Amino acid sequence: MRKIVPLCVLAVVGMMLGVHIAIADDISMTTTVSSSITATFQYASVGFGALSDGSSNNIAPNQATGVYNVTIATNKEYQLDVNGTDWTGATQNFGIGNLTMDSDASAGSLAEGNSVVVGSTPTTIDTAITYTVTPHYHGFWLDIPSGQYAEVYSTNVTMTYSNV
Amino acid sequence: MRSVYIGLCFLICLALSMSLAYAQQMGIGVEPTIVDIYLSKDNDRTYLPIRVWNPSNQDMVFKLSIEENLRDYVQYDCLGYYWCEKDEYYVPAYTEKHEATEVSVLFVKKTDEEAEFESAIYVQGRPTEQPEGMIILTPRIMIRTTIHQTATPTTTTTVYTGSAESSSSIEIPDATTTTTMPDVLLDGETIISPATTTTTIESEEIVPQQSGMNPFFIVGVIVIVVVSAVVIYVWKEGLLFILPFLMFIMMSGMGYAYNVPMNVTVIETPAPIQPYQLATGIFPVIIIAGLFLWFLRGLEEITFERLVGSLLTVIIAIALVGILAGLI
Repeated sequence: MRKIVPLCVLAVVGMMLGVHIAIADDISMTTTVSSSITATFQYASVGFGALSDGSSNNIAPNQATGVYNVTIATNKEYQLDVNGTDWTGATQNFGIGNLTMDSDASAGSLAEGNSVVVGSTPTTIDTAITYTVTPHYHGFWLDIPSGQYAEVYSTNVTMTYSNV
Repeated sequence: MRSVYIGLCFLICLALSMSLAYAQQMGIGVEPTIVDIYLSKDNDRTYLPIRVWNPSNQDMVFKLSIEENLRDYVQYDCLGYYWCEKDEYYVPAYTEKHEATEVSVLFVKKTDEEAEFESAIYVQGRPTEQPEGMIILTPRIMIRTTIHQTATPTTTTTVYTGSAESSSSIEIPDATTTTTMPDVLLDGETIISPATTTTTIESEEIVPQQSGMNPFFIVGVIVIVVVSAVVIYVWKEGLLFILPFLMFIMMSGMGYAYNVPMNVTVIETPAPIQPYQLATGIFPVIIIAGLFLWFLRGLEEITFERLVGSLLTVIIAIALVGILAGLI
């Protein structure tokens, strides 16, 4: 009878091992790749030069050659939103709404007719841009109000890229 | 005279190429750009690591800002490791994604009420050399953020470190960041150390992780040990008819021990034992038990009828459990 005790223990251990081997379940595996975006602006400012008051649709210099472009590296569709502050001079101001902007995958396709008025709050210039579209060209047109005081004006424009 | 013209042309070309080469760039890279933040009673604080880099030819200074509706959910730490409104981050030129600077934003649960809303975090850059012109550009990347605050504990992603049936995460270098961060106080009692955990950035949720011994595993092991001791005792005393029932109890213990991992993160209710698991688990037990009892046939203290009865009792008990589990 005493010889049976170790056998009993062996049987219990065997059962445990048997159950362990039997429970080899399927493991489902998932992962999510994070979205990221890199925007490298090939320009930091735009200079329109001297313009006449009352003139409209003044195009930014050298725009047709594609000097105002951004290289986008991302792994998801993206969009561009733009907002700015009013044009300020030493003594006078005028509205940011006089500036319009277009964005396109080709510099030659930039057109004033497609441009969007830049406001003080973010305005979407282009949306759901395919993530393989890079570089990305910008176009600017500026109106000068009639009788605008003669001095140097400047503005800050914020360009916000985001994945959608 | 001709050589003078050639020389002039060369100088003009050189000047043009130099001006093009030194065109001022502005670069800004951000990851992630879409995140969900989950806050609940159990996860009342969580941090969001944001990686920033600058591939342009100009050194840049980055600054974070948040939407107004996010203000109450962000804890500012102007002295420590997390983002503060005053913080500016200098990022040198020509840095790539793998050389990114990491900025962490600490989110806290604001109220006990449910809340779900969209918001945004902005990473804004400016070159260290201020450009001059009529239009000065400010590049900015928006991180779309959704806050999910639940009043009751939420189901969270569980990453098992042991073998277990569960959904698990694999690491992709760009999608996963292992960070060295200070301890985070959870519920005023539990301290997690992100330095020892791997944070998997799921686009849908980011939760702090907590490791520890699973109590269900301990219970299972205790049951096995206790029942093994009782089996030896009843065998010595000749109380064989109890053996089938003890086997049944031990199986339950093994079910806990093997189906529940030893170490878990964010302990939730363990996955219930599925009927098919029970079936595959008990099959070798039946075989082993049958062989065991068959071996005992030759002993004079035990009759063959009694052994068959014991075996049948085991099979019936297992079948009943299987049926019940299936019904549940």
